[in-house]
Amino acid sequence: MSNEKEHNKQFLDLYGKHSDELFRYCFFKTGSRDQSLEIVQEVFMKTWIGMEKGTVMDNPKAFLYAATRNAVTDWYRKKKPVSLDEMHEAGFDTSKEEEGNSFDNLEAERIISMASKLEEKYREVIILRFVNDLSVNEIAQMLGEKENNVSVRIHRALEKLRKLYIK
Amino acid sequence: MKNWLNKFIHEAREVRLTAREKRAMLSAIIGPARIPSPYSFFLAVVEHRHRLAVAAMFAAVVITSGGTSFAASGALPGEALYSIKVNINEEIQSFVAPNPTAKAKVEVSRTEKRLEEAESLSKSGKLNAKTQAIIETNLERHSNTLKASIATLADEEAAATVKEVISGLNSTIEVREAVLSDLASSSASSTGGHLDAVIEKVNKVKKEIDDIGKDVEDKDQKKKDGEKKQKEKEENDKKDSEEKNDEEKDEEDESKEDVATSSVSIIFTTTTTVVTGTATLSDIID
Repeated sequence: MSNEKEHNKQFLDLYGKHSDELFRYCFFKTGSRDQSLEIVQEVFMKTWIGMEKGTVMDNPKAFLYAATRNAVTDWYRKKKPVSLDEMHEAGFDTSKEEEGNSFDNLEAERIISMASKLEEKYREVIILRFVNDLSVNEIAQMLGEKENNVSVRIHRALEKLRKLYIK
Repeated sequence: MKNWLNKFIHEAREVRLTAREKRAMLSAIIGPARIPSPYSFFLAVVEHRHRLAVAAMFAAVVITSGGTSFAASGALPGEALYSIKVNINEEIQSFVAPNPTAKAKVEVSRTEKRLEEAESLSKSGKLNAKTQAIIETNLERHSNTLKASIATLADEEAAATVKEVISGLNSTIEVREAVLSDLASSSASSTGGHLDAVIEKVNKVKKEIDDIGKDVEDKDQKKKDGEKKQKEKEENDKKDSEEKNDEEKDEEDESKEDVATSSVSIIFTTTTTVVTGTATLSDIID
């Protein structure tokens, strides 16, 4: 069926474009590779089922980010809260994987451990704005906040990150 | 932009899915490229009147349990989630198995699961004609997939692996069969009858697969024998030709000696000539 083929193509497109960045977003939120894998899979599974049902997405990227953020929030709720310190002590879950994953890179380890020292709300906007290249507007929509607030937060986050870096 | 920020961005972008993770995730979601979708596939196998309820449950399970539905894993035949367990969860396991050996092992373990289900059902008095039929149908399906994997392995000339898989299946079935037989003799006659039917079915499967295994082994043995004969023949040929070579070599050596003797005599003759020549020269000088 051509309709089905279209779904397939659209889905594969979305998956190819966004799976890495959603995974990264989850990773910097949860600090766990396994958990991030699970969350991303769940989000795409929901997306796929939605597409099969014929749900039309005006803005698939926004939908994916919103769904991922909700899934992460659910995960936080289910888990007992972990403090950032604990998270850092656990060294984030940077378990190395085959196929040339980058965690064997000491620099990357350092970046991740540094990011884990940032407060979560700052870490989130840094990743979204600079690493995943979302616009301030997109971030504001996703977080349900005013663009102005988001800009201020990004500014503060940069300042904090810079201090961590220079230390 | 600031240097440190660029560096941070660059390194943070290195956090990504590996190619393998990407593939595994995709196949867990949409299945093999040719299969339309696990969703429509799963609707096709669920009885029509149950569809809506099961679809809602499936969605709920997916959403709340994170990824693949683990909640279905304890379901028994006749329960709503059972279809998900057998047709989605296990089917995905079988699909993502990286090679025929792994696939065959998944099918062996699925066979074991069906027998365990028969055990649980009979203990709770729920083993009836309907659930017995479900188990038998599934056993048949697993055995078909298993046969296909064994055929692939046989094509790849992995007779040892085939043997290993089949002996795994046999010991699994034997253990389960012993449990089920015990249970059959101690339970009510109707349940006992259903259990006996399941045992009969699984023994049929075992026999069929055993036969295939014997075929594979025979062929392998014949091939090995053939290779051995071929090798022996080659070795004999080699020996023969070596002997022949030796003889030729002897002859050659002899002729070489002749040549050597004659060259010595030539040199000797030449020297004599030179000596003679020198003598002649000194004679002239004198």
